[in-house]
Amino acid sequence: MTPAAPAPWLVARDLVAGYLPGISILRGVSVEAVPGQVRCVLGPNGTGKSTLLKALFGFLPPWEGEVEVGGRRVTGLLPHEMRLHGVVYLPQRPSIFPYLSVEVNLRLGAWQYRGHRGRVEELVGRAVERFPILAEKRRQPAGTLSGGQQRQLELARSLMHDPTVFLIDEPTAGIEPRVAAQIYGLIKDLAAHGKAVLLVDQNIKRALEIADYVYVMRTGTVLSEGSRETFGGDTEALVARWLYASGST
Amino acid sequence: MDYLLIQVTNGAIIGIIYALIAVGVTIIFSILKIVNFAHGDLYMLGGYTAYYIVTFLGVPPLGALFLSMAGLFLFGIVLERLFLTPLYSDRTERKDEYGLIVTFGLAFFLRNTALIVFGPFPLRPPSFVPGVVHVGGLAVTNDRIVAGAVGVLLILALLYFMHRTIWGQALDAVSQSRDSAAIVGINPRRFNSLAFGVGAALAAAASALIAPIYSLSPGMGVLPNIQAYVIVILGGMGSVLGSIVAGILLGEAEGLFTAFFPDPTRALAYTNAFGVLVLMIALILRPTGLFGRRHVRME
Repeated sequence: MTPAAPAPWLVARDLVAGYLPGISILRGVSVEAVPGQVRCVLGPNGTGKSTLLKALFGFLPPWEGEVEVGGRRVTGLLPHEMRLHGVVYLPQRPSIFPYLSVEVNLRLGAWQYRGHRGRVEELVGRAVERFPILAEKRRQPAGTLSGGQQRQLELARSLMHDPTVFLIDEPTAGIEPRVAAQIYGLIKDLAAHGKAVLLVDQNIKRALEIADYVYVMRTGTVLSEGSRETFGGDTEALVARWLYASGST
Repeated sequence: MDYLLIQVTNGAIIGIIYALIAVGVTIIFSILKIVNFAHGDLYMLGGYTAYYIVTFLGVPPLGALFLSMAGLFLFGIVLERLFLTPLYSDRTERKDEYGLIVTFGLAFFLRNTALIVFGPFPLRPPSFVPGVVHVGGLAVTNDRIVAGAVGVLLILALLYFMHRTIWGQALDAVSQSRDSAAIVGINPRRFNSLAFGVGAALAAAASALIAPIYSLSPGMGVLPNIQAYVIVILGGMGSVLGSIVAGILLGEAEGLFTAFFPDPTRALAYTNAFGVLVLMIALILRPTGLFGRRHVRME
C-alpha cells in the first residue's frame, strides 16, 4: 500500500493577474505547493512564471482566482503579511539589503521577534551556525558578498521563521555552476525537511533533477503538469514542447 | 584671530542647525522618494509651536523644544496619511509629479496660513539661558551654545537610532529596498509615516533652537529649505551622515566666506551663493556627493 500524498499547503486556483489594466499576464493559472516536494514551474521567457510567484506572494494582487495557505484564504494580502502565514519568497535578485552588514540583514530577518532581543540573537546564532560563511563575513556589507553567498544569506534569513512554503524564482541566475549545484542541494534539502517548494527556473536540466512535480507554462496558462516521471526524465521532449508552446518551431 | 574664531564658532552652530533640517529632508527622500518642498514650512511651524508653548503654557524654552518636536512628529504623520498615501497606490499615475505638486501646495498653504494666524511681524521667543560667555577674545551668546550643544545631542541620538536600534536599521532597509523589506515582514507603509514624522520633528528642533537667535517669521523656512537641498546633494543623496557633515561644512563655508569677502558691505548678500559655490566645486570633484553610496552590484 502506497502512503497517501501529503495535502497541498498552498493552493492557487484560476489566477488572473497583470501589470496593466486589461492586459492579463496570468490567464487562469492553478498550482499547488506540497510539503516535502519541490514543484518546478518551467517555461520559456515571458510566459508569466515570475509573475505567478509575485501574485502568490501579494506583490501583484490577482484580478481573479484565489490563493489559500493552510486552508485559509490569503488572496489580496500584502507581501509583509504573507510571512505570518508561513510563506517566504526568494526573488530572482537576492532580496538582501546591500549596504547593511550581514549581521543586520540577519537580524532584520527576525523582524517578527523584534521585541524579544534574546530570541533574535538566538535565531541569528542558529543561522550563522548553519551557514558558517555568514559568520566569517558577519561585519561585511551584504552587497559585497558573492552571488552564492547572497543566496545563502537570503535563505538563512528566510529560515528564521520556520516557514512552510518557499516560493523561489531563478535561484541560480548568473551564479557559477559549482555554487549553483550547492544551491540546488539546499533547495532539495528544504523539501527533505518537509517544506513545500515552488521553484521557477530556466535551468531545466538542474531543476528537473530536484523536481518532484513539474508545471509547464505557456503564455499565462499551465500547458501541462505532472510528476517528474510523467515527463520520463526526457529533457529534450520538454524543451521541444516549450519551443512548440512559444511558437519558435 | 579672534574674529576668525568667532566666525568658525558661529559657522559650526549654523551648520548644526542646517544639518538637523537636511537630515530630515534626506530621511523623507530616502523612504518616500519625494523631495518635500514643505520641509522649510514644517521648520517654521516647529518654531512657532515652541514659541506659543512657552508663551501660553509657561513651559521653559528647552521643554517647549521637545514638546514642539513631539507635536510636529504627530503633525508630520497626519500630513503624510492625509496627503501622501496616493503615492503608494497603484491607481496613481505620475507619482513623482504628485509628490512634487502636493508638497509644493502644502508649502504655500502652511506659509500663508502662518501669515494669517501668526501675523507678518517677527517674533522672538525668550532665551534658553540669557547672557554671553567670554573665552579669551571670543564672545558667544548662551543661546548659540545651547543651540549647538542640543543640536549635537539630537544628531548623536539620531545616529544611535539609525545604527543601533532595530527600527532605525529597518528604516535604512526600507530606504534600500521596499520589496526586500516586505519580504522579511516589514510593513514599508508604516515607515513612510515614521520618516515624515521624524523629518518634521528634526525640522521643529532646528527652528526652536535658532528662534531665540534669529526670531520667527512666516517666511523663515524658504531659505533653509533651499540650503537643505544643497546639503543633501553635497552630502550624497540618501546619506544621513553625509547630510550632517555637509550641513556643518556649509555653515562654516558661509561664515568664513562672508567674513573674508573683500567687500564687507556686500558679503551678506552673497552668503547663499557661497553655499552653491561649495556645492558646485564638490560635485565637480565628487559627483556622488561626499558620502554618496557607490553602486554595489547586486549579483
